[in-house]
Amino acid sequence: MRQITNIKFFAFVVMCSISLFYITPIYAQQVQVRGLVKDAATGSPLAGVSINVNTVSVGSSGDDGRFSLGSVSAGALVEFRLIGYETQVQKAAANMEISLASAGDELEEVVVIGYGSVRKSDLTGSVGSVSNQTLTRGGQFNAAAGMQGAVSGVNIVRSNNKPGGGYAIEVRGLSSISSSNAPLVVIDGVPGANLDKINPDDIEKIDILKDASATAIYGSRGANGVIIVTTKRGLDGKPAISYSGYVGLRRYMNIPDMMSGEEYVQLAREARRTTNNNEYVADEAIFSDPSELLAVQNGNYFDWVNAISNNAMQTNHTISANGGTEDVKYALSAGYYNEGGVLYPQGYDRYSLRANLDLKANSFLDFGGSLYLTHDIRETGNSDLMQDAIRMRPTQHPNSLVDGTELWRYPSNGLFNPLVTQQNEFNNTKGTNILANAYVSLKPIAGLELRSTFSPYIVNTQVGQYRGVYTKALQGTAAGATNSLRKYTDINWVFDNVANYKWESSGHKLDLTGVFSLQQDQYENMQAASRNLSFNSLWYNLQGGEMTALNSAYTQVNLMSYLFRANYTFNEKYLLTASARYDGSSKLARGNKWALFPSAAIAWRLKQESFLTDVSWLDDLKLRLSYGRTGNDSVSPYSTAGTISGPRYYVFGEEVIGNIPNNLRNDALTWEKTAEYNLGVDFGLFGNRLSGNVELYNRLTTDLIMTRSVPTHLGYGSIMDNVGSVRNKGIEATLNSVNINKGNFKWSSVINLAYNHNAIVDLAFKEDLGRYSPQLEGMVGDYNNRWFIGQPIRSNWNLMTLGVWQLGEEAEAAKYGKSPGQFRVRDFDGDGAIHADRDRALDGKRQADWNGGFTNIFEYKGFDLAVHAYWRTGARERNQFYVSYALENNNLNFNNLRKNYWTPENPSNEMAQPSNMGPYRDQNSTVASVSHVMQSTDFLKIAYMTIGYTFQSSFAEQIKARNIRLYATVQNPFIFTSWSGFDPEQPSASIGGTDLMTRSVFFGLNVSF
Amino acid sequence: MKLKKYIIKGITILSITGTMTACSNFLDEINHSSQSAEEFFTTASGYENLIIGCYADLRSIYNSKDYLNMSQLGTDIVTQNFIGAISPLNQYTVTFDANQGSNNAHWNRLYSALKNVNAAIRRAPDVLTKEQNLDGIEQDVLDVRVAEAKFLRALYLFEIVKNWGQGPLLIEEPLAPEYTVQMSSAPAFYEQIFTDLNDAIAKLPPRQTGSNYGRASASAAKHLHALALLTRGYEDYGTTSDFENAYNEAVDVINNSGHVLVDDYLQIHRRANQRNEEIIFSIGFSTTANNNVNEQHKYYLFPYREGWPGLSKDNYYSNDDASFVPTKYFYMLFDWANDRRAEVTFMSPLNAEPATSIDGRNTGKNWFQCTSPVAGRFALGDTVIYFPVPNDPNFKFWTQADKDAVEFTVYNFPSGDPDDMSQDDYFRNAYQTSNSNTRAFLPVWKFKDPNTIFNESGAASSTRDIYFYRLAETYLIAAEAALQKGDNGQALHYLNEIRERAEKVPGSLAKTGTVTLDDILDERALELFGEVPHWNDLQRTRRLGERVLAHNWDVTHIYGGVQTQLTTGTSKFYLRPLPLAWLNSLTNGSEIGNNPGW
Repeated sequence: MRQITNIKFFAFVVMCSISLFYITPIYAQQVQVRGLVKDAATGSPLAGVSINVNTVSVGSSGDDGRFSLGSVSAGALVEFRLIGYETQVQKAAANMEISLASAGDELEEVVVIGYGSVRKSDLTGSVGSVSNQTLTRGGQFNAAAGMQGAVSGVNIVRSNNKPGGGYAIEVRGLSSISSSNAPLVVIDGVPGANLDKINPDDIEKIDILKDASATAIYGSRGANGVIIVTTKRGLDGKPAISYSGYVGLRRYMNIPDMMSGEEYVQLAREARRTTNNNEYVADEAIFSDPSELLAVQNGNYFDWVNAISNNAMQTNHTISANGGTEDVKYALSAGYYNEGGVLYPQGYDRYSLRANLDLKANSFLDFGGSLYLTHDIRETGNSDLMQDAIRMRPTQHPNSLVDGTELWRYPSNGLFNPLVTQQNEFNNTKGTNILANAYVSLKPIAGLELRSTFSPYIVNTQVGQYRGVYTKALQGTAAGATNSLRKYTDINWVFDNVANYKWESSGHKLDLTGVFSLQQDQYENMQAASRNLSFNSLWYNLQGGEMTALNSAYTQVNLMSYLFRANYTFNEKYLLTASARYDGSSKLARGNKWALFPSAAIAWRLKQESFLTDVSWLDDLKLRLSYGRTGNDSVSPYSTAGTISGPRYYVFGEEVIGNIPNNLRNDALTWEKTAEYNLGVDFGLFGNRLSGNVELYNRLTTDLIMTRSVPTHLGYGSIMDNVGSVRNKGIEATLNSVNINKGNFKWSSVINLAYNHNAIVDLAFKEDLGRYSPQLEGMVGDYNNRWFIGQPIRSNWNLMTLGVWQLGEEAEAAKYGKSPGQFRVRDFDGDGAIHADRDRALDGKRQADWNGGFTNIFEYKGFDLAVHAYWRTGARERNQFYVSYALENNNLNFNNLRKNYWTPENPSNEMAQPSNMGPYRDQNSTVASVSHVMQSTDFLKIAYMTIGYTFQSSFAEQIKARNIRLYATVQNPFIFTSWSGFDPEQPSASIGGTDLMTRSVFFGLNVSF
Repeated sequence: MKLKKYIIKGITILSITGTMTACSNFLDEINHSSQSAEEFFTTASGYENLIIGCYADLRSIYNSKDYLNMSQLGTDIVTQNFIGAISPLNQYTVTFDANQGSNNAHWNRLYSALKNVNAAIRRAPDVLTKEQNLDGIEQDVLDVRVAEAKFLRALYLFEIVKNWGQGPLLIEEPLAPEYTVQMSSAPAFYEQIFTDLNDAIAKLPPRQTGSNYGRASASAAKHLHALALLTRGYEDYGTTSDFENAYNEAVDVINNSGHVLVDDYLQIHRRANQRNEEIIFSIGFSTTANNNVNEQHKYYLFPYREGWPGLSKDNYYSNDDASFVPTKYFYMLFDWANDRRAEVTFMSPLNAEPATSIDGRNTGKNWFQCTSPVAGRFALGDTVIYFPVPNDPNFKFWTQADKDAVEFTVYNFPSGDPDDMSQDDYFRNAYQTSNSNTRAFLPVWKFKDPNTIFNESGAASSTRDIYFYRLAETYLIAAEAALQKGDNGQALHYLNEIRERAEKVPGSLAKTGTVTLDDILDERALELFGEVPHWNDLQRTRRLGERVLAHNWDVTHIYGGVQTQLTTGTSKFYLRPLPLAWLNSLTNGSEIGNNPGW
């Protein structure tokens, strides 16, 4: 019902605006028209806006956005038109101020497609785009975070909550079983660059190539999608200098629901009672530590999580400038980001510096280049701190309650005071990234451009570790501290030679691109470690102790490619793209080094057909169909040759080191190949107030590179081989809508939704799975790896928990060797024993099938409010946190998650009896688990809420600013989930590896001059 | 205009072809960090490394819990720790099937090691000699190395044939994956074993000393030869002369190898004396290097670190992984008053003095002392857990009243029927706070090492050698072979040589009369506990069902009333199941089937 009302409303608005346009006004007098055109969002002046009066061109706005039209009839309609903006019509007036709104997904938008770009209207493949505005709206320091839930079919997960932690990106599900599923990131033409190191403020836009016809141009590395990042470059015009920055605080959120002191003490009593024939024992016998006993007696409990954490600062500052003339364009920016650690000594600092210059000598020679420098420092401290703070019993205190001495070691549960470890261990990573390029472009004849680009990408990383004697690792007993230092360098370069020819004549448009490309990646590593250091020298005094490790390594990978692409358009109606890439890689065996990756796509712009031109509510309709083949060469270098093993130690009279043959050579190893069909529809309705697209895809990956089990009598467990195929099918939809646009109020939303289904189609090594379990009767697959043909790659193969054995069921439980209070699992074949294989069943998958994002933006006068949410459903995963803290084998030793556990008085079916959980407490494996440790990872997260106010330009002008905006943002304000761990996005992560989620609140300022 | 076009085209084509030719080597791999196996193993240093790599497999096979699960659990002398858990390998339940983890792992490790020795033997002819190349090897050194590899191959083949009774008889290095396999029967295995051992004996020195200590010697090969002959002698495909030959080979080692029995049993197992006259072959570890972790010492200890007030998680008693518990039968098999081996094998007052203790420390006394004071209860050094043992001057049976009167916990030495574990302190739950399902039993201390450090990842780095063959076992092989060939006099002689060495009072342990197979098995248990695969001893002698059902209470009293599948007489358990995962990885797996009953 509401839907219909909305459509009617839209139709009404559309009709009104159309009729307004066509009403011929009656005008009486002339006015001198002057004015200013601005960008509605940023307030910055817009140059080059073409201005028509009564459909006659009368000029355009200048560099400062100002224009002057001379005398015009009062009341005449003045039209302002600029590519990438919504056209506006206003009545002529003496002093006009025009705000042009960005057209968003407007058809004139340029999309970067790799080795070139096309207008969105000419696009034939499936490409999603994210603007700078979307990336920076939530204030995230990492562009991947800004993209979360912003593009359908692009699934982004924060993989680490510590300061500076990164993100994992997946495009359209998992294509590869054992190789990486990460898409190729191309930053300013450099494939394989690291998005984490780029300040989002420096990014002009990000284009995500999703279907194979789009990614085929990246050939052997395109199978998992391609993310093309374009940084800002200089523009024609006066220097524009802008500053954006914020400062705020972050703290932990969604802290797991741990037991209170009283609850923990009761659990401890129950656990002891269990092992004492259900008789309670005195607290004195449970809490052997006198300090803990005092805590229990006085109800004096300590909150360890609170004690080791604090509010941390988060701040970000970017100052940038750009400008230029027709011949010289430049851009410059500097950024600083700091994310304090909620847990000392964690922290992250990033310094970035960007400069680029584009020079035009004459009509046929261009030269330019860019430099992006990043230096970042990440300190993560001891990785067990949060785990230990959660584990510490509330009855334990940092100082003895008996005599007040500082406690370091807690013999009653083997833990060490995390407040002490916190001060004595440092894990520090420093990186320096240099991403640069220089190009020469020749335009010898009309339509032809020859461009050579050389892009080095150099990453220097230093990882240092220091552990003092009083750390959990060294336990206060070592003779001295330990340290280690690792330095590694990646030296990559790409040399691209592109020839592009454009030709246009009477409705025919042709765009041809040919590329010859060379790429080299070199990796060098050196590492050393020492022990028994006498003072805190961090990692700078390796010689101060006894050296325990020293090693170095080198690898090199080369890639050579030939590419060709043709785009043909007829009458702006029929579009055809064909491309081919021929890739050769040094990693593969001789004879299998080269592979061809072709693609083709067609599109039909139905709206341009005569039968639709008159349908006024339909602004755009395009059908796209594409097919392409891509590859994946994620084989480790040198793995196709016969290698020798790493050192194997032995002792005769003295220490000796040996080696053995390390692998079965596989001379037939070749590329992993992906073939994908994509069917897409783009549409725009009601004056483009409702626009979007729907994509259907079917992707088949064959020749999957994975370790293939070989019969073990050969002496090897597996070889790398091309085995098996996987299919991903899915649907994606994106909808941009301006829901309300009335007076000063505007409400717009972006919704995107993606469904992906993934299944193993075939495997070279397959066995009859029915031999292992009747639940797999008739199925084939690789049992050892839990790969079942027809099932998703990450299937759960579980013992099925029925609940808890209850009182009264003693006799039946005893048949299985169990007793009341223990977890009960299903005996499928009813033979009175639980078999490791025969009594398991398929229990969901560890891969979400639905992903989505929802952004709402409200604008009223100078105010704007944006709320962004994203969600994921369909996966069941092992809840590592729950396993560790609710199912903790040693119930008494550590604090527990709050839980409804079984006691003789409380016949719970959810959680077994403390200290009597039985063997099915956990199965301690990701691939074969027990169902009660698996939980749904469904969640809805509000990623950010931002409220801003843009000052009137009159106010801004008082300080000679073009635009001033103040805003406040909350990151991660809410999460909705039934998951009992700390973060459903990281179901199997250990708390030490990733840390708790954080919420940030900050206040920011954008100002441009 | 046209001319310009041609020039541009020409330049473009030229530059592209030019770049292509310049880059014809661009896709070749350059590897500075490593070398291809083909090149490396032809040099002297490469080939020596390959042989060392083959020895390193001994660690992965025999220093693993899987091997101990296979060779110690489910016997008359070793049982499991957890009472409420069903342990297929210990209790022979229906859950013991062809997809058993330790069975699979042991098989895989053996074949992986076999692949490496085959590589060493096959690649030997390609190794450059000193005449051919400066990096080459001396011919006589090469011959000895190949002989060492053949000893190892015989060892692995013997391990395979005795456990599984059949298998692929691989004597070539696999160079490409193959998915079908040719099975060989046990007689073919023994033929290959004896061929390899004869080659090894011909080239190897009788003993290895100095920087060669730990390499295979002719004596080690003869010891293995005797054991393999003895084992085949029991089989229906064995020959009448097998026992005779086994006896002769063992006696040859006893008389001519240069190895002698150490006078005092204690001196065999003292940490400081681990390389002694009696050791024929051992698996080496060093005190310095990384990746050098002997795990044997911790499996026979109960978890004393956590949950016991007064004991802390530190390196005073080192790490523990209570997996293998001596049976009551085994504790009571010792003549504690007269047999030196009792106090050496277990924690005992003997260890109070570092000078005489196993590990050179005083931590192995028959009580655990406080390492973490508990106010008002235990001061540092106080007794926390006490195990009365029969050779303790104050030995007695502690009544409940006695126990209640002291602050520490007491676990009485087993008493009564050696085959009924139901009432003894050791075999009931030790109700401690953390590991509520564990037993608390007198730990085995003879493998103990003071150079162990408990670290956070749970690794306990013992750096002692693992004894593999020692002369006492050669004596017992000779005794068993003599018995089987009908020579009771020699059987008694070699048995008593071992017993007399162990006696504290002269004449107190000597046996007279007829020696039985059970006497031999008992003696092997007393002398070689944990050092030899006792399960295979029971298998070889066909005494598995009889002795396990009689002496391992846990097998006949499985928690929840579950029945064991083990029977006396011939049963499927005499051969291990061919691993199901391996069979399934073959295209002809279903044709092969499995061992009878599996």
